[in-house]
Parts: sequence; structure tokens; C-alpha cells
Amino acid sequence: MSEGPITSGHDPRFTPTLFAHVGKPNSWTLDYYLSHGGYQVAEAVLKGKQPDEVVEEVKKSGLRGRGGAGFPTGVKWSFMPKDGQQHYLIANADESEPASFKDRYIMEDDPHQLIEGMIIGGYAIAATKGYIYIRGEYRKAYDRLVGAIKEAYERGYLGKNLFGSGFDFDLYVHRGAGAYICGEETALMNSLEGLRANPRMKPPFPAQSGLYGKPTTINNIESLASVVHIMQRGADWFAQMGTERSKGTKLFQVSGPARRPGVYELPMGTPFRELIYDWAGGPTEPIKAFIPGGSSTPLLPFTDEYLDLPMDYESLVAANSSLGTGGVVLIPESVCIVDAMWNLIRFYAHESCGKCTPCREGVSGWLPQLFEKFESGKATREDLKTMEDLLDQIEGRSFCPLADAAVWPIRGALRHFRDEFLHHIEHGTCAVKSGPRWR
Amino acid sequence: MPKVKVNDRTVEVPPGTSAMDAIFHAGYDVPLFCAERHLSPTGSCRMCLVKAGAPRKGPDGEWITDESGEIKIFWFPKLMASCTLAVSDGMVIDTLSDEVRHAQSGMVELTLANHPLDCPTCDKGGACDLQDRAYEYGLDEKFYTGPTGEPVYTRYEFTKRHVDKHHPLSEFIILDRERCIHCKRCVRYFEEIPGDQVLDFIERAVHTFIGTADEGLPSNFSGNITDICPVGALLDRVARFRGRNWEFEQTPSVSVDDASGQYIWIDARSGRIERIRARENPELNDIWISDAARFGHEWADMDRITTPLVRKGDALEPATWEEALAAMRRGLEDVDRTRIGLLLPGDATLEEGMAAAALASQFGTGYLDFEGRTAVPATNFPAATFASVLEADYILVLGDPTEELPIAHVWIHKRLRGVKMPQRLNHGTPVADLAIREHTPPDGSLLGAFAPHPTRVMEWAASRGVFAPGQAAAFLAAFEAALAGREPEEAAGVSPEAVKRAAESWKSAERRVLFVGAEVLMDVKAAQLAEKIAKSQGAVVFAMTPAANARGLEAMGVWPAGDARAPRAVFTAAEDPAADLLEMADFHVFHVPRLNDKVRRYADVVLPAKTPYEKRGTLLNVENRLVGLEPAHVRAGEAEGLVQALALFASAAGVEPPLRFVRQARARFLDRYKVNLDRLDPYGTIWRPRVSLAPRPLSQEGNLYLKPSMWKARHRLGEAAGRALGVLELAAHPETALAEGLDEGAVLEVETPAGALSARLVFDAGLPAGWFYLPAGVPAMRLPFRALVPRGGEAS
Amino acid sequence: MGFFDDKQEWLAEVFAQYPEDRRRSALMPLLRRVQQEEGYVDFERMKEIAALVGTTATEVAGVMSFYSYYQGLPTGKYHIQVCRTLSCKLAGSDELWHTLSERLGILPGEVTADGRFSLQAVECLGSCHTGPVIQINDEHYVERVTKARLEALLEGLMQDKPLEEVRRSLPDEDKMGKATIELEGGEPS
Ligand SMILES: Cc1cc2nc3c(=O)[nH]c(=O)nc-3n(C[C@H](O)[C@H](O)[C@H](O)COP(=O)(O)O)c2cc1C
Ligand code: SF4
Ligand code: FES
Repeated sequence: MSEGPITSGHDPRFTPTLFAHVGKPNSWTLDYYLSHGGYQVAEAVLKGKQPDEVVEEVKKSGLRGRGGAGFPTGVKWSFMPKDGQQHYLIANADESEPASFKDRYIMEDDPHQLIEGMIIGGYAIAATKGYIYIRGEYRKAYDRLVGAIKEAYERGYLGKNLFGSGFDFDLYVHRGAGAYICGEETALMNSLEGLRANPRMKPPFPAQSGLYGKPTTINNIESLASVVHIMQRGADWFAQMGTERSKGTKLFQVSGPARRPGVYELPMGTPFRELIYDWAGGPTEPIKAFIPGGSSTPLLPFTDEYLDLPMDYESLVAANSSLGTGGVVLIPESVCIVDAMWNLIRFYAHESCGKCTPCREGVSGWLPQLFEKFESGKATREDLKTMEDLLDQIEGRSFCPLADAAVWPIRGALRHFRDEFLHHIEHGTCAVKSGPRWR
Repeated sequence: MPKVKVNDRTVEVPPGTSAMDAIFHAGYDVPLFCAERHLSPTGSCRMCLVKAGAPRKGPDGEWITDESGEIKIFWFPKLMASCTLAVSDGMVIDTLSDEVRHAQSGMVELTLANHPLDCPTCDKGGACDLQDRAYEYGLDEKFYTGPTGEPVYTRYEFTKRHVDKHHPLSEFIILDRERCIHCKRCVRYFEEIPGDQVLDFIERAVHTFIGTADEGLPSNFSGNITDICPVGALLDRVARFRGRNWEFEQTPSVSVDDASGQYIWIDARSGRIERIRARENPELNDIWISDAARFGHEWADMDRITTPLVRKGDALEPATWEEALAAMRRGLEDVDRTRIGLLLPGDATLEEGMAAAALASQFGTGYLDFEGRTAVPATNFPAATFASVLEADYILVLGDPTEELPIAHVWIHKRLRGVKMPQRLNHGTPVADLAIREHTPPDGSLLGAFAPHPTRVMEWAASRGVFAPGQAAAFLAAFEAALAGREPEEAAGVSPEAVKRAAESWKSAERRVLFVGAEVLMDVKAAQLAEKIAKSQGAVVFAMTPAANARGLEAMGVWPAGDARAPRAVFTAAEDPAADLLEMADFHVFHVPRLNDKVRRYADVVLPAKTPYEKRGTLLNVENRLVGLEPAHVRAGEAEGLVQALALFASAAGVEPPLRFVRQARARFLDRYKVNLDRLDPYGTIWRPRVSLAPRPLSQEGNLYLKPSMWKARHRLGEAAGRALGVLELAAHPETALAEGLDEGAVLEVETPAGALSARLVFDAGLPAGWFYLPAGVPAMRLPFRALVPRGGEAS
Repeated sequence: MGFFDDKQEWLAEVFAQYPEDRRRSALMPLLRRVQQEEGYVDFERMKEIAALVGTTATEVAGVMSFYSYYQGLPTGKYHIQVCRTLSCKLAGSDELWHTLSERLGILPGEVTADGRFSLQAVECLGSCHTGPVIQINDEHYVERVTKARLEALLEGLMQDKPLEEVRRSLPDEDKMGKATIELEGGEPS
């Protein structure tokens, strides 16, 4: 497939917005952005709407946070107090969940879209200061953001008295340095304050006491970018796309052996099949399973039943999984599920912040050791029972959801591919033979 | 107040109480590792999981009911960590169900997964939270059974994490990283209590360990982490391997290491003090004590004098009490009783002070004094309680509380972090106080700090400044001018702006607390100015006296009288009297626990004394709080208390001893002041004596400034403290030192009242020029700088 | 001389990003600057940073060791970070890693004798559709590191050509970094 807007042929109401300019030459410059109507929405909002009206509009649109948890963005904004204190808006660009890489392209190719979204968000929640917390590895996105912010300041789209509305907004970029937990909003704030990035206790919630003890809202990059289009085209436009409770368009990602792996903007509720076959061009080798929404979501068998699931929050919960960040990974026949899960567990073991016992000793300590035993062919049926007990003792008991996120994919694997674990127990080896994959 | 149902009991607790404290308040138990009194709850160990739910109100404002009309409980979908869950009205908490017990036993299993099995060689054994919980949950047959139904002891069969096992963090504290269960109490402690962030987690995930990059844990409060570590990961290195927990005799007493009277436990074994621990006093020291109080005890077991000694020619020889009495009689034969001097240590008890004052008046002598006395009586100032610090709107510090009254440092830090006095529940101080928040930076706008040298609390203060030694009065005059709305002058190095800012804050505050250190108290003019400012502004004052019991001794009348003529004979219970006093007299009786150069040189008779660890007696602390010393079981030969020694001395001088026993002193005290010293309140009894004593100036001259330090000379005798404190540091502005031809690093012998001390010169450009600073462990004082560079001691 | 002595302007800019009384927020940017320029952060630098942001060396060490980017030991001129998480693994990152380790003759923590290379396996870099991915130092990613592209990359680095130039000149480079990547052939291997 060539460059250019990615549109859904299956939903006539759908117009690509978030990714309309991704991949275009110089799409990241202010000139390009202005020539495509840039900052007009922010101007109209700041001049013509009350902050409450913005919050209402976003509520009405049904936009749910694209950071993984799917909490309604407008509702989150309405938690911010009206107290005249310094408020903060933080854009969460930590994007460290394996299989997610959507926010990156907004920042690389359309950074002004994010800035405009943040101006509107900041206005809605009375935050005059914003931070973009970007994972340290995203150097290109960082460079583009810094360039865009500089341009925006130079031409008055950031700083004092925007569009003559009296609203000030300052925006800064803060780089992470390699820690998945920094995507968790309270850990992110600690990291931004120069502390170890352990999650904080809630309550108090960020809206009561967040960054520097001040009311704070943390939103995902995609969520903030979506706001621009909601404010431009209206809540109804957004809400007509998608399903009953999952509205609008969303960025989906495909990785693993597909012909055209990448990011696709599609309406909520589009079936996996369409994403994988029509957009990503279908697999390049036989597939047995897929991760539906990023590494934390329980994997599903690559069967008609699951391929026909609509990509929305509810359908995936009903299938004992989750939409997460919409990152699909195709797992080929030739790869052992135990091996694949070991890879993920090692990721979580590495990324556990070490604060709470079940995650530090369970996810980071015990689980990898159990997996190693499976890998080395020494595991017994007892070990499988121990593993399941251990998952019970970890899930729902940890301080933050990272430990749950580590448990869920294994749950999915044990639910659908238990025989591959048993194969390891009985034969001491993988059920499949994996050849070299590097080309 | 919210009503909470814990299992079958319903209790009422203040709003904001944690579920954990509601559980304890109701008399039930819940396991915990990370929660700790006075620290922010973090919910990290996950040991305290319980099942909890609460009713909800419908749109009509009424509780939602179930089919049977009962108020419906909406259970939280997950088990909740009770330490971080705030109660709400109608909350229901279950701590006993299988589900809860299973989750808790799972957490014990995970906690033990990487914990070594070395309880038999661990000092914490017998007093270890993890050991107790392991016994309670470890063999949970109900939940863990093998294939044939036999109980499973552990399912953890992997190699445990092997890391540093004997890692000294400082001379005082040793860390066993394998034992650490990552409760973070120690890290939170350092940040939240003293504010010295010298310990932190390093690395992350399962590799996380405790470590420091600040060598020797620079803090005056490092030892408390050994008390609060729930396992044997952080241990008191001074006490290490000295005994099992169940072998110690534990005596509740108070520390005389400064004027706060911190509550301590003295752990002794076979007649030796092995360990000092903090004892809870929520009004005074919470559960914290200074390092000097904790680790400064070793001297009490060293080189003790166990029998009386009498001088025979050049030597002091062991003698019986009868022989000592006879020797004293001989020595006092021709001495006019009005020319007998009595000198007490600054930590002499009220009872001892009463006996000394009574004896002095029988003698008719004016020479009655105590070590560490200030020029102006501390009792002149309106005393404050520590609790009042938490209510203060502005705190002005003139001095160095961190060194002069260490626990005050902790209270000031609490105030700046916005901590309030905790509510007391059935089980005492809340274990998980949700009002305390992690990472709350101190609010410096509540604090002004000025002193003759940079201090630790200055780092927090919004207004601050360093004035030169001897310039406290000049500073106070400038402050007074600013208060009166006049333009203050530059006050001996402190900018007029800083003075004005402090005066502004002080004026606009409603509740003011003033701390004055020895620098002010030693200077009649400065002290009187401070007193005037405090009284005219209704401020309360902490007079940080060098003497632990200054107020008690003053109240008993231990103070030089108008006609203190040069004494001809001296009875001293102070270990280190000024040499000129000793020179004045011909006959010297020392009542001290150990020999030193002065005793060897001057003593005619030596009576073996008890240390404060062995005494029964009372101190009146800086808050005017009576606190009681209890004797620990320490082997000290024939050592006697001061009351008895004074009685013997009286007999030797031919007068009837006015008091012979502590008991008598207490009876007299009860009679006079209607306070029963045998029955003080558990946290001490506030007693405000009426005292009127005239100022007695102390001579001060010269450019050597003896900087206050919580470590007193005797602490340095101890092995660990001696090593930790190392060579004394003589600090000076580089210009000042270079003008004297001294370079950084030079080792000098410095003349002090406590004899010649060896010190290494360090440069500090933050100090006022013209002065040399020596933390000599004696009160803030100015004297001539006389130093000698020993051969080979030049800067390297 | 301190590392930051001649960077006062830059420091002021960094501090200006955060509230005045929250200098500690600058801890990570300061660490990054040292890491970028010196390849690791030694104890003296930690102390310097601590003094600048108003905390202790211990706290700096605590924060620094939390993140995988900052190194406590010297790294090579080219610190090669190989993503090893699932999508990259499916694209062959295990083999890529072993090849690199063998070719350079080093394990994580080691530096090649000429000081040129060091290696680190890292977790998901957020470029799952263009795996296997590597990042050198703090630069833009090198995506879809096929055998051919790796060869060209190493060759360029051996000649110490500017990194960005090497990256841009790799075979097929213009096809990288797009939201969508089309695989040629695309048939099962
Ligand atoms: C372990 C963990 C990692 C997370 N990582 C990210 C992330 O990388 N990006 C993100 O936007 N949200 C992440 N989240 C979710 C955030 O905590 C937060 O819910 C989100 O940023 C809110 O934005 P939204 O409401 O727009 O989704 C993570 C959560 C957890 C528990
Ligand atoms: S689950 Fe616990 S250890 Fe894991 S990341 Fe969250 S707080 Fe840290
Ligand atoms: S989580 Fe540790 S006591 Fe509650």
C-alpha cells in the first residue's frame, strides 16, 4: 500500500483525522499545519467557548482514553477542581507497552496536532502549563516536538494570551530514560519530579493532588489529538462512529509477520479481520494466535470466532481479553507459545518497579524462574499448578496494574494454549520447531 | 465519626482513619510490614490485604438496600491494602475469611521467597515481624498441600537471591541486603523524619536494593532505622552479636545526652549496656532518638572506677569508703565551709540538685554551679512544648537545633511538612496515618534560621543568615528594629533583607516559636533581648541549653550566689571542671564514673559514681517536662549516687547531711511542689517552676568558637562513636586560616577547656572570616585560638 | 572542573522548564546530558548533579539506577541497544543479538578493545512493525535491521562516519520510519 490517508472502506461515516497527514512531506512543520487549517480549532475554542462547554462536548463525544484503560476523557476532565490554583496537563507519550507505536507517529509527523489538542485540553481544565512526558528512546519524535514547540512559541501559538483570549499556555517536553512503569500516570509524575518512578498512592487522585501537589490531568497522546477533531467537527460526528459504548476512530497497530505491519486509523468496532487482512495485507505465514491490544492483553486464537470480533472495549472484555492500546501482534504457528510468553514475562520482570511484593517477588522473581524451568524442560505438572496459584496470588493484589498486565497474557496462553505448556512438561521441549526468523 | 464494622465488632473512628487502624482499634489483628507509625503509608508490602466494602447512597440520599431490606454492601472488586484504604461511614471489613487469610499467606510466601533462612544467627531473631508472621502463616496446610495431601512447607525451590550480606552502611549500622524485604521504611524514614536523604533504593524490580552514595550516612538520626526495620536487614553495629533479644534486661529510661530527655530503652545483659533503643513518647520523641543517645553509651562500660580512690603521693590508690571518708575529713579540716565549692554535671538529676543546693546552703557557700550553665537562666524563658511546634505559624531559630537539641530538628521538619499531632486510638499512635504523605517537601516560608555558622535547618529556611560568633545581640537588635518598623542595619554579616523578611513573617504569624541556642544563652545581652522579644510578642521559647537538666538544677537553686568567693576545697561531680577552678582550690574530691587526666592530676579523693544509665532520678527537660531516669542493671562495682556521695561529703565536712537518699529528696519535692516524682505521667509531667535567678556572665573572648555538637567529649571515648566521628575538624574561612599560615589538611593541637584536642583544618568559605570553629562537644563558647602544629602535621 | 561549569546557559534553560522550587525535576535531563557526552555517569558527576538540583548523591544514584538508559560504567563510542521484546523477537532479534555479540566479541557491560562498541539488550522500543530495531546512543532508530543492513551499518561505524549519515545510507533506509511498512516478497520464509 502506498502512502496517503488510510481510510476504511467498510464504514462510510468514517473520515481519517488523526493520521490524515502522517507520512506527508514536511507534515511536521508549522507551515504545513497552518496550510491545512492548523490552530483554527484552538482559536475558535479559546475565543468562542467556555471551558465547561469544551468538557461537555468531549463528554458527549464519548471519547475514551486511548492510553489503555479506556476511561472517558471528558469525565476525567470534569474531576479537575475550579480553585484558581496552578493546574497541569500532562501528555503521556511514554508509549512503552510492547506492540504499541501509534503515538510516536502523531509526534513525529503531526506534532502540532498534539500541541493544539493540549492547548484545548489545558483551556478546558484551566491548566496553564503542560508537559509532554516522552519516552527517552523516541529521539526523532522528541526532535520534532521540540522543533514544533519552538515554532509555535515564535508565532504565538504557545505562551501568553493565546489568540487574544487571555489564556496562557506553556508547554515543555520531559524525556524519560527507559522505564515502562513511567507510563503509569502516578509513576510518570514522580519521574517528572525527579524521583524514582514508583507509582503513588491513590487517593489522592491526580485531579486533587498531582504534579507538584497540584491538580493534574494526564492524557494519552492519541486522546489529546482526538480532541482537536471532536472540537472541529462536533461530538456528534465522533459519536456516530464506532459502537454503542466505544466511539470514534482509533489508531490500531499491527506487528508480527504481516505483509503491511503498521498503524491504521479505523473506526472503533472494525473487526480484527479487516485490520489484519484488508489493511495490514494479511499474514505472511500461518498464524495460530494474536495479541489483540498490546502485550498486556490476553492473547486469542487466530480463528474465525475471534477474527470477527469487533475492536471495541466491550467485545474484547466479553472474550476475556481487552482492547488495551489496540496493538495487534500476530504469533505464527512456528513459534512456541511458552517461548513467546517467556519473552513477555521477562519484559515485565525487567520493568517491574520493585515497589510491591507480588510484582517484585512474583512477576520479577518467581515467574521468570518458573518459565525458565519450562524452557529447560524440567517443569512438572506441579509447576503448572504452582504457576496458576502464583498468578492468583499476584493478580488483583499488586499496588498498580503492571503486575496484572504481566499476568493477563499468561492467563490467555493457559486458557487457549495449555497443551503447549503440557508439551513442555511431557516432552521437555517446545511443541513446535522454530527456525531462524532473521532475514 | 464514621462507624466501621470489623468482622463482628463495630467501632467509631475519626474520618480519614485507615482501615488498618480501624481494625486495630477494634481489637483485631492484621499483618503488616511496610506501614509504620509516623511514616507515610505506601501500601507496598501488600501484607495487610483485607476484604472491604461499603454501602452506597441512592439518588434519594438513602442507603441502597438489598432484597431483604438490609443496607447493601458493595464489596470492592479486589482485596484492599488496609493501610492505604480510608474508612467511610458504614464500611465493612473482613479480616478473617479464608479468602483474606489465603491472600495474606500468599504474601508471606512471596515475602519469604528471597529471604534467607538465617534466623539462628540473626540479631533480630525473637523480635522480628517476619519471623512472627512466618510462624503464623508459613505452614498453611489448608491452602498448600502436596499431591498426597501432606502439607507443603515451601514451593519455592529456586536459588535465592544472593547479594551483599554484611554491608556496613556506617560505623553504626550494618545492612544485610538478603534479608531486606523492601518495605521502604528506612528510606521513607530518612526523607520524612530528619529530612536527610542518605539512603535510597538502587536499581529496580527484583534487583532493587538499599544503598547510599553518601558515605557514613551523614545524619544525626541514622540509628532509628534499626528500630523500625521489620526484619534483621538493618542492625545496630555497636550492639551486633552482643546477645539475643530475649536475653536483654530492658529498662525504660531517658537519655541525658541533650536537654530534651528523649525516652529510651536500655538493653543490658550480664551487667553491661549492650544497646539503647528508642522508647515511644508521642509528645516528646515519637519513636525516634538521636544517634548520640543511641550510640553514645559505650563510655559507660569503659574504665570505670569501681572503688573509692585516695591520693597517696603521686598516685590514686583504691581505698574503702571509710578510708575515703577519713581522707575527706583530713582534707576539709581547716577549710572554712563557706569556701567549699560544689560543682555538678549538667545532667545531675533534680533530686541530686536538691541535695547539692541544700548542702550548699548549710555550708553557706556561694560557689554552687553546674557544667554547661548558661549566662542567663533558661527558666527565664516562657517554655514551649514540642507539640506547640506543630501549631506554630512561624519558627525562628537562632542556633543549631540539629546539634543542640536534636529532636527539635525532627519537630521542625514535621511542621514544615505539615504533619499534625496524630489522633490517639485504642492501640495508640495510628500505624498508617493517611494524613502523612510521601514526598512532601518542607515549606521553608514557615522558618527563619540564623546562627554563627551554616546549619542544617538553614537549608530549609526561607529567611536565613550567618552572623559572626558574639554577634547574636547585634542580630537581635537588628531584628527588633525591623519589628518596630525601623530599617535594620546589616547585622554582623546577615543582610538587612533577610532580617526584614524574618521579621515580617514573625509579625504576621499568630503562633510564634523561638529557638535560642547556647550562642544566645551564653551572652547576657543577647539572651535578655531574646527574652524581651519573646515575651512582648507572646512567643514560646526553646532555650537549647547545653546542660540536660539546666532547668531542673536552676529550679532547685543550683546557681552561683552573689558572693561566690574562690573556693578552697572543691567537690565536683562534673568530670571536666575548668582548670582554673581546680587551680584555685587546695583540696579536691571527685565523684565521677571514670578516670581522666584532670582527675589524675587534681583529685585527692575519688568516689566512684554512677552513670546516668544507672540512676533513679528526674530531669526537667527543655519543655519543662519532668521525665524519669530508671537504673539499668550495670555492673559498676561500688559506685554510688550523687545524693549519697554528697551526704558523705557533708559528714566529712562536719555537717549533718540535709538529704541522704533520693527517696527523701522526692518526699521533700512532693511536700514543696505537690508533684509526686514517683508517679509521673507516662509521657512526663509538665511542671513550671517559679525561679528567679540573676544572670551570671561567663567570660568569653577570643577567636576560637566551640561549635555545639550533639556528640559530647565522652561519646567519643566509645569505639564506634570514636571511629565514626574520626579526627575533629577545625573549620575556618580559607582567608582566615591562610592568614595564620595554616593550610587545609593541617593537623593541629588546639587548646580548649577540655584540654588540648587534636584537629584537622578544613576550609569552609561559608563561615564568617576571622574565626576558627571546633565542634568540641562543649557548649558554644569563644576563647582565644591557641594552636600548635605538631611535627609532621602539616597539610599533606 | 565540573561538567556543568561551562553549561550555565543550558542549565538555566533546563531549570526554567520547572517551577522554581522544583529544581529536582531537572535531575533526569542533567543525567542525560552527562550520559550523552561522557557515555556514563560516574560518582563525581552524581555529586555535582545532586548539588545542582538540591539533593543528595544517594538520591541521584537511586533515580539513575532506576532507568535503563543511564549507565554507571563506561560504554563504547557506539552503544548499541538491541530491542528484544516480542515483535522484534518475531522478526529475529535473538539472532541479531547473538550475531552482534559474536561479531563484536563482547557481552553486555563490556566494551570492545578499540573502545568503539558496547551492547545492551533493551525492551520494546516502540517500533514493533519495523523490527528488529536497534538504537545507537541517543540517536534515531535503525529499523528493520536485516542482515544486509547490519553489515552496512557496522561497516559505516567502523569507519567512524557520522552516525546519521551512516543510518541514512543503509540499504532501503528511505522505506523506514513510516507508519506502515510494506514487506517485499512477504512470503513465509
Ligand atoms: C504499567 C502501565 C503503563 C502504562 N503505560 C502507558 C503509556 O505508555 N501511555 C499511555 O498513554 N498510558 C499508559 N498507561 C495508562 C496511564 O496510566 C493513564 O491511564 C493514561 O495515560 C491516561 O490517558 P487516557 O485517559 O487518555 O488514556 C499505563 C498504565 C500502566 C498501569
Ligand atoms: S505492581 Fe508493584 S512493583 Fe509492579 S510496577 Fe506496580 S507498584 Fe511497582
Ligand atoms: S501494604 Fe504494607 S502494611 Fe499495608
